[in-house]
Amino acid sequence: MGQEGGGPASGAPAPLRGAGGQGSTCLLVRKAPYGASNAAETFRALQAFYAFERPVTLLFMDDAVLSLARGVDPAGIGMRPLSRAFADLGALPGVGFVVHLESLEERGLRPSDLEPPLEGADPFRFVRTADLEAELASHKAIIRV
Amino acid sequence: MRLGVLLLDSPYQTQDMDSCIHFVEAALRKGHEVVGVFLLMDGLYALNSKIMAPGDRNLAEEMAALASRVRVVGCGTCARFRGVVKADLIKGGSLGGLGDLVEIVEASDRFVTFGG
Repeated sequence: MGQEGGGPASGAPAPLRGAGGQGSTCLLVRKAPYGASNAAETFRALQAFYAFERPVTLLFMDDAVLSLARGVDPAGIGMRPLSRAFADLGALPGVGFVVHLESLEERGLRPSDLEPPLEGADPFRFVRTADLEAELASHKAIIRV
Repeated sequence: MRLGVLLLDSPYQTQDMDSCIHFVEAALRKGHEVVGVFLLMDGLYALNSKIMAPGDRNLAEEMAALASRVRVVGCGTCARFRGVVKADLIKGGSLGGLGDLVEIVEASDRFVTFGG
């Protein structure tokens, strides 16, 4: 069973605001970008939340941090790169990106190895394991895709 | 309490669809409201009325029974990618979009994911 979202009882939808906070939804993605369709489906879900003007945060953990690695080109296996697409979506209002720092470090990556956000976009936020509980608790719902 | 549910895995491959159905049934028995069950990725196969399970539980029939009491919506794009068409769907099931998922999340006090 997946992660339960928690938060106050929902009534009328809250207005769009910055990602994070009790009105937002967290999309938690943990699988590698091209071995399964989870990351791509997360990308689609993010677009839906944005289209409905709902604040949304993507939290990348475990192998999913590879979704943001700079310079990955999966054209050889007939797939499109997700890292640039994700980074571009970070420029949208109400969309935030959070990266689990230990997942990055365990895979020999540093924040500078990630696809840089568009100019003017909010930079990625990095959280350590010790801060994950607070991060997850800050959202109305958590969807583990 | 109002509950929203997401199912990501296909029937029989894992126990997730069984657990999803049992969870929703239990929640309804306890008097909770289930605002919707959304079927994404291989969870979409839960809508396939052509499922046959000789000698075993028929999860399509169980899901159809659930769909008579709860909104059950599958991802239309996932259906196209998997060759599932409307004529294949269980009674009470429907195809929609990720906007339906957004609506279910918005209307829920708690949101539970099975599979993935």
